[in-house]
Amino acid sequence: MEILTNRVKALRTEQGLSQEKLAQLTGVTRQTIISLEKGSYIPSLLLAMHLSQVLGTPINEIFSIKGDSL
Amino acid sequence: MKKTIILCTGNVILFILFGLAFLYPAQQVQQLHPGISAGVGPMPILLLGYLIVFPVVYHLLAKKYHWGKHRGTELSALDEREQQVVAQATKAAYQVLIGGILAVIAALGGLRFFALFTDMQLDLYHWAVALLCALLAAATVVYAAVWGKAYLK
Repeated sequence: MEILTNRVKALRTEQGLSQEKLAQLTGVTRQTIISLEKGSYIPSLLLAMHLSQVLGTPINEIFSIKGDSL
Repeated sequence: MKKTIILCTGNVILFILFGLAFLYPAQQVQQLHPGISAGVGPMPILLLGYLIVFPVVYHLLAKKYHWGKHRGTELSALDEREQQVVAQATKAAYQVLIGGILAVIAALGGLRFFALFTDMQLDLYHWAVALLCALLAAATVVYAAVWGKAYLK
């Protein structure tokens, strides 16, 4: 089974951003950032691109697939 | 989260009061010759009072917590994740309603059928109002439960 993991929490902490601030910058709620960091929510491509922009990191370096590949 | 809980709780109370108001609309019903004398029961008055008070209370809470107009109902969503949460909760409530309506129809039919073979005085109106209001309340509780579970995931 494939699982999408992300480095949002690590990148956000590196940049000294709070969850609230990241939520504001990406146009979502803080609860969405919390779920995203827990790995229980898979974002849309649009939100992933917003995160990539705000965190200054390419999408493929934020998100990765773990488990059986295609 | 608060908004959905308050709205769902408000809706459950509304459905209960609505049911009671239509189950017991009048009091002191007397047969006169000719005609009938009756007064409005306390339940419709309570329902009317609630219909006035709840929107005011909700408006004050909305101001306090800055919910705003676009967040006005329990079906509103602030972002893509909340849209998914609302969709899950709505689907669950829909399933309860559809299944429940079929169950209510079956129960009313069953009661009517049962009444044919017994001396039971069947009041289909009362049963229908009570069951439908209970179903609406149940669907709202399911909506709130699924919404809360998905929201906190």
